[in-house]
Amino acid sequence: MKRERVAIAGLTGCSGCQLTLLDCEDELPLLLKNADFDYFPMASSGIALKGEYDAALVEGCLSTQEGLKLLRNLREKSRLLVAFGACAVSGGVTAIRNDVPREELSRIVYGGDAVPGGGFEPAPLASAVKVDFDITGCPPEKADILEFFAGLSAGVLPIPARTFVCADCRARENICLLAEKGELCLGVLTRGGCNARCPSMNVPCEGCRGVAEETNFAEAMAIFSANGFSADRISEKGGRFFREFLHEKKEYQKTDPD
Amino acid sequence: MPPLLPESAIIDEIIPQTPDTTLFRLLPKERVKRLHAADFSPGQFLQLSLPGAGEIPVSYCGAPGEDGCIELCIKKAGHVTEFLHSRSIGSVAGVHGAYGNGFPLGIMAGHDIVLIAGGLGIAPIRSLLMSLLTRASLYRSITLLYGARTPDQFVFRDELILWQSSTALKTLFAVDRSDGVVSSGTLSYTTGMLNMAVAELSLHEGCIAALCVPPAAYPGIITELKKQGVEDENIHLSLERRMQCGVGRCAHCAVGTMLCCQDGPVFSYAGLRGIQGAI
Amino acid sequence: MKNRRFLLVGSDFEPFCMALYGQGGIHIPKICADGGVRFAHPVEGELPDLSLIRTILPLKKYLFPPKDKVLSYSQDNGYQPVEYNSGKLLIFGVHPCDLAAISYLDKIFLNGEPDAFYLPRRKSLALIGVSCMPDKYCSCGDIASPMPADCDIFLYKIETGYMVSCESDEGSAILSPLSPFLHETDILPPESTRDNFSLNSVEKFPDDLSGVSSELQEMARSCLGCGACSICCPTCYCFDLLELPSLNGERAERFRIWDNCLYQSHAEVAGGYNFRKARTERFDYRYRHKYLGFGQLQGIMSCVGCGRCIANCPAGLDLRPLACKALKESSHAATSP
Repeated sequence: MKRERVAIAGLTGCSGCQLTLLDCEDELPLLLKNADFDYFPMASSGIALKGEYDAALVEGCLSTQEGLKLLRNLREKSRLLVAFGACAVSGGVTAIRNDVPREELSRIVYGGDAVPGGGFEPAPLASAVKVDFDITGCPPEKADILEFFAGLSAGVLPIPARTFVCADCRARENICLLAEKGELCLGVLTRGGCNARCPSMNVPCEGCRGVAEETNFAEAMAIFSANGFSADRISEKGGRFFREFLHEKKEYQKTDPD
Repeated sequence: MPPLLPESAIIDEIIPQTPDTTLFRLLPKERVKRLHAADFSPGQFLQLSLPGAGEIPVSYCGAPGEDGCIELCIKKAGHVTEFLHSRSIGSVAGVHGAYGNGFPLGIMAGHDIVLIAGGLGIAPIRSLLMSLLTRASLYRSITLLYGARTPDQFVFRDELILWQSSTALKTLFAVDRSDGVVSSGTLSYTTGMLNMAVAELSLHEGCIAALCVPPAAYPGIITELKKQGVEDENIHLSLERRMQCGVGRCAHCAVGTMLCCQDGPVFSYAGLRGIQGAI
Repeated sequence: MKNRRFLLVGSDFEPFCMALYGQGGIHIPKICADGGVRFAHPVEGELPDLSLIRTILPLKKYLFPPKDKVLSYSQDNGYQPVEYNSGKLLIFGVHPCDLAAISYLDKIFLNGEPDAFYLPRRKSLALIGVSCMPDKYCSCGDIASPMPADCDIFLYKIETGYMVSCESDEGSAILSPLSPFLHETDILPPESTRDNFSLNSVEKFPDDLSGVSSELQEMARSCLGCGACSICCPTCYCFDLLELPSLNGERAERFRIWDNCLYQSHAEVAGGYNFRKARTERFDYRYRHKYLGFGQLQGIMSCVGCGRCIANCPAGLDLRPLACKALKESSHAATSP
């Protein structure tokens, strides 16, 4: 059987997605049997980017020239380029302050005299290169990562989950955090497939897997609002993973008494 | 055998038709056996499994035959079909079927038969035509009308050319646009929508029509057929729906309150009258 | 003991339960530590709380799990079915609506060639039903179900305790060792919600929803599309088949997973054409499935009135008024000159 050549790279991010891959301890021996991880700086130092790859998994967002260069290089060398985790897919946590000018952010974080460091506004990989497949989540589910590698070996990429976190959560027979506990849970908007990991641990959904295939933002906003959440609270929470909330916020501020 | 269990088959021949559409011939993995799924009537479908990718419903496009070979004409359009197009001769596939109701061959003898196919709808229509042609003298006349988007989208081109010159049937080929690359000058076709081509046929009462066209094309064609006096009972349509299980249990494919996989996929237009969203 | 009735006085309920627990695997309705109401295994000495109105999930979780491995593929053996041999499980405290829902699922999965994954699980279940009082979400009293509330044993709540009705041979086998607690009676069971099931003369719902199109549109506008209603519905059984290759690409497993008619992908075919792109079309589909029935089950209403879809909808949607209005409009149209 043909061995797959794989590159795993990290741009601007917390490396949690790569760590999740390394956490698949039971499956790593099998993974290594079928794939050569020829470029994986986080797991093995001193290996240069060379040759071609069947797949490159890239974690983190684009926010530096070096990152952009690496990404373009990987794109050129790889048959499949995979956005690995929420930051790579949508900007994720790295992009949550994109609504504040960078000069102001620099002043807040580093003080008035700081010289901005040359980076640019965090952006998803797809803003610069063609992305063939998304592995969503912050971090992604181990099962999603393994399904990608299984699909790579078999020659067929996985089908993204069609459920909502809300449906996964009901299927696990959880109490509804939104309706029954009055918490700001985003499961009604979020793509499932995580088996409602957070709500099952009593933690409201943050929306890290991105929006479901078809969502009803207006109704969700009305429900959140009826549950007593202010527009600021909603957009602060929702804005972590859903760009849609940032637009909503502007609309919302016109009518919200808060 | 439980209805969900696929039998093992292998891909015996791969014959490209257009850049994205291919004819696959399947034989049993153990040559001495005959596949249950090889027994079918035109218009029925089978469930095709590709290990690792999954299962899809596919209309038979060949004639049911002694050789037990299954012919499927498949377009690269989704998860399983893309994977299928990456397979090679000798690759394993699973099949189970046949499922659903086919075209009513039994009532066709002695009648004028008009077959209308649009796009990949040619697959079940070819199956029906091949069956009719084995005993062509039974039928008063056979007409095939086949429309494709562009000339390079015609599949079974060699057969079309043969049929075009055959005395056993009349043929009429139509394209929506003729800006595609024409690979062969020997196939003649007209330019215009399929329903315009139907208008050019001179049909009369007692004519039996069998159709498989894209969903949006049905209303126009049916209007034309009715205009020419074809009775609702004599218009037989093969409908497409999302069918997951093929055995009436997954609840995806309802047409009104009928199930496409069990009550269809071939319905008479009379049976669909008044059903919202059927066509 | 089949077809006989017995009195179980209140003070004998606890020893009756303990003796029943002694017979093997049992699940009861209970409020779990997180406040959720579920069918689950009792902890030491815990009695079933028969006053609870509805569990989050109905009994389909035992018969038809959310993700069920059905086939495995290997290069040597091709596709092979996964075999399920579940041990006996007694479920104590099932309401008539949930019993009726199982009768409906039986029609889907056992008619014709029985489903190889449903059948062994169904055979392993023994069911003890119990009468109940409907709450504001229940509709068993408004629109009666044609499905029978079949079970092995049924308990009618009466003032002095329970009237126990033995309904099957299996019920007889369960009750025989418990006879010290049971006193035979020929008093008829009291009127109860069970009388709203197994009725032949169920209203015929119309297939034309044009009279309620504004209600339909309003529902579609408010629906979040999350699918919680279908997940919790005792008679929703739509499923998808999902195949996953193994890590080395040489083996594969096929799963049956719950699907949802409110999802956009439910009616989408290869190439992207969608037969129910609009949410109103999906509600129409849901109405047809619930109130008119599909395929061999045409004419059989499947809503058993358990109220879970309403209780679990984050947007508070309720399909009942739409169905009732459609029914009223159609009967009005039928009688008006």
